[in-house]
Amino acid sequence: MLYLVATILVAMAAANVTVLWPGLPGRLERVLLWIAMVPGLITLVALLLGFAGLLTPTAMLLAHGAIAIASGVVAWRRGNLALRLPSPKQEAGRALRSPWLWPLLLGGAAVIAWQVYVGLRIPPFGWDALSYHLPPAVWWLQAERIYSVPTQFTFGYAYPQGWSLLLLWQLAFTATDHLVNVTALPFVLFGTLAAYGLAREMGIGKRWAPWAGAFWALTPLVLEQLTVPYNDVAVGALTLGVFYFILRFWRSGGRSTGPLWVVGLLVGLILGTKPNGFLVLAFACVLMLFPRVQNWRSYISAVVGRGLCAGIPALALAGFWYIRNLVLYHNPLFPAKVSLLGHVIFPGPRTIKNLINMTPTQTKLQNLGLSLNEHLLRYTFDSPTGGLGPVFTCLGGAALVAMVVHAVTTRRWRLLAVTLAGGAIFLLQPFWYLRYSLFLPALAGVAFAYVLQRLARRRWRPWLQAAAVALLLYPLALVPFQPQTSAETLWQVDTAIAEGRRLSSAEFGLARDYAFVDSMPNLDHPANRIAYTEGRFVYPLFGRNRDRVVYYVPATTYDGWVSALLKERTTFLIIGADDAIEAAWAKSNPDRFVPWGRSWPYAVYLIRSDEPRNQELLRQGARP
Amino acid sequence: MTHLPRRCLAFALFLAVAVAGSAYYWVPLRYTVGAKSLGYARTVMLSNALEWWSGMAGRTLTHYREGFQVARIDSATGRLLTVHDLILDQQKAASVLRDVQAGQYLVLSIHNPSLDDELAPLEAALRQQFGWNGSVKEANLGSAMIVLARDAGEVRPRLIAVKTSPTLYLEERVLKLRVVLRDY
Repeated sequence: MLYLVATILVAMAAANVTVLWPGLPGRLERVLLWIAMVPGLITLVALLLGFAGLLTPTAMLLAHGAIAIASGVVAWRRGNLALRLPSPKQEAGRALRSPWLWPLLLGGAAVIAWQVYVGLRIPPFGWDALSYHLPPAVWWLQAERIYSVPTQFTFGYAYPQGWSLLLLWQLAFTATDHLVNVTALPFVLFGTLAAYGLAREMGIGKRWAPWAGAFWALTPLVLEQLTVPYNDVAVGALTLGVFYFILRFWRSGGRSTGPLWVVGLLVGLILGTKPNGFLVLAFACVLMLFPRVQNWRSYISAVVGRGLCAGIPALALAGFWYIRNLVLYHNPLFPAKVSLLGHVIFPGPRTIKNLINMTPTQTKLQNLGLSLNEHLLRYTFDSPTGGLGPVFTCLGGAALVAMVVHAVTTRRWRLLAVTLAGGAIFLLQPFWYLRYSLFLPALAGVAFAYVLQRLARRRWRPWLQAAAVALLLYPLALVPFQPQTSAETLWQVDTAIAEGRRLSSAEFGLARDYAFVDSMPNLDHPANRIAYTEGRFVYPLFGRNRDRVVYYVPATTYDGWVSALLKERTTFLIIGADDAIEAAWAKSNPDRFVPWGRSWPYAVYLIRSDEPRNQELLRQGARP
Repeated sequence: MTHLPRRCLAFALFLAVAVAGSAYYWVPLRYTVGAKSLGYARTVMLSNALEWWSGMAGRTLTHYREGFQVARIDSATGRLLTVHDLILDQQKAASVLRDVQAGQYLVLSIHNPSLDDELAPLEAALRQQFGWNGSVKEANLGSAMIVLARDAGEVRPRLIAVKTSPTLYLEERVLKLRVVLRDY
């Protein structure tokens, strides 16, 4: 209930701010701003409260309540309180009179509902989520402030952590942690509307523009990620929003700065989520800082003005993470080394290439080839290749090629600029992983709509639409049977819950780590203080109520390490690898480390110390 | 160039690329193994989806999970009997390799186990029980498949094959399984 109240408050505050936002005449752009403003406000308020050491659910609730009231009063005094929504009948009425979009609407709604249901039923999972997206959210909530947590997996925690702030919102107000699985849901809606709006701005009529939204929302990878707290859908959707608002800025003749502030907000959300947002930022700069040169003085003032409009919100939302890295590691993009023309500007232990390479045996072209040929058996939410579905390979790519060629010959520069910018953002990535470029299906959808509207003769259109419907529905029908979040998974988890037994490793992907924590005697106790090392996944160690204190103690020397463990009043030490130096130390010092349990690859030791909790456990001798 | 030829050119290009893309996607050129193709794997997926609705019968290897899975297959009919996940330690690796029922194939499927430590006990058990001195380390970022069988009357299971692949893809594992069983 508190979660609902808090979220409604943020939505009200976002609606009021949207109403007050200058220079946005269109209803669709206001709705898009409203949706984006919700994560924007959550991020901003969490950052401010986190710096002040006031990051509690109550403070967040009060802060958003205050913003909602203050912005509501201002909007009321201006007599402009209501956010006017676009009429679906007016926007897509003509498209819905044809029979082609209805099966997609119904099928899409059913599958999205199913995915959300699955997401709400199973505990959070996924490598990135359990290892470095979720733990900071818990640490910050426990400490009531945002800080850089000393951890073993430094690289993960040096990434921008804006996504963790959104997950923190999902965790702060409820006992369950299943809500984090559906964090991407609003971004699916945002991406669908942005794709539609983009198509309209690129010259596609209302009758055909819904195809852009359909191509985006029914992409198998988008639907697969609806059950895990991953951020690729959000990044893809926000990138579409950036393109859309740049085109709105162009439409205003470059005079209205309202859309530029929104571009800054969206770029800030992307950069706060993933560093590859710098590519989006670069192309956004090229597209929006391109005023007509009349004289140099006005040119420079226009560039500076536009840069400030977009730069201020971007810096407010994402700047902290890069400044943090600059202070801690002397490199804003740590751990990646930054070089220019062979000169190292910011040193770092890794390169971008070896940081994200998931397919070391394949070239970029092979990646792309496999992605376009990926079949349904391979669809997973974190697949490095593929996930765009057969419609992209069979129709979308062809439509993109045809649209670009036709746009060149008919000099549609506006359309061409956005399409080529999207293509360049994809091509300039160190690896052509489609997961990191989830805006591509929407551009393919725009292109398909373009083919229907401008290139195909009337008699061809039903056949093309029928083919698109079939190719979109085909993977849709199989999404509930995909691995890791399949119907079988849900059945197993529900059975375990119904039988009152704890999860076992067979229940769902990566469940072994939950199972280990659940099955280890005396580990699930709020008074425990747990030190870990070499554990792949930190999040399950926090326990069901996320109330255990979990931390990493770096191994320097044996004596230094032990004194740090004692200083932290450690109850249990969990070691996740047999070849860790800590494992050798613990084994050879049974007077200090009492073997407590083993569930491969984890070994658990009780620390022999004077702490009351440790003494109590030693007395119990409740070793497994 | 007038408007119509431009449009025709672009639409012809669209059709040509769409046909090429569709052929690339649907025609199983590269992975055809005998009569078995990617089309076969898709059919398996569909049929298992249907089987799930009829009561969770016939779980399949197509359920991707990181780590290890053990599948039991009826050697007479080829029907998949059970599939379950596994965390391997030394004791479990040894016992799994011994536990092959007469008239069944036992397939140990490995997918991106992430930790070398999990492969070491498996290799040790393979060496100890079957004298197999190879390495499945290649599977650390890919997949591997180990097939055992025991005919009626045989006391101990036999190791039919160990296949490894540096890639992540399950489809290849399914195909390899078919190849292995056909060869056998």
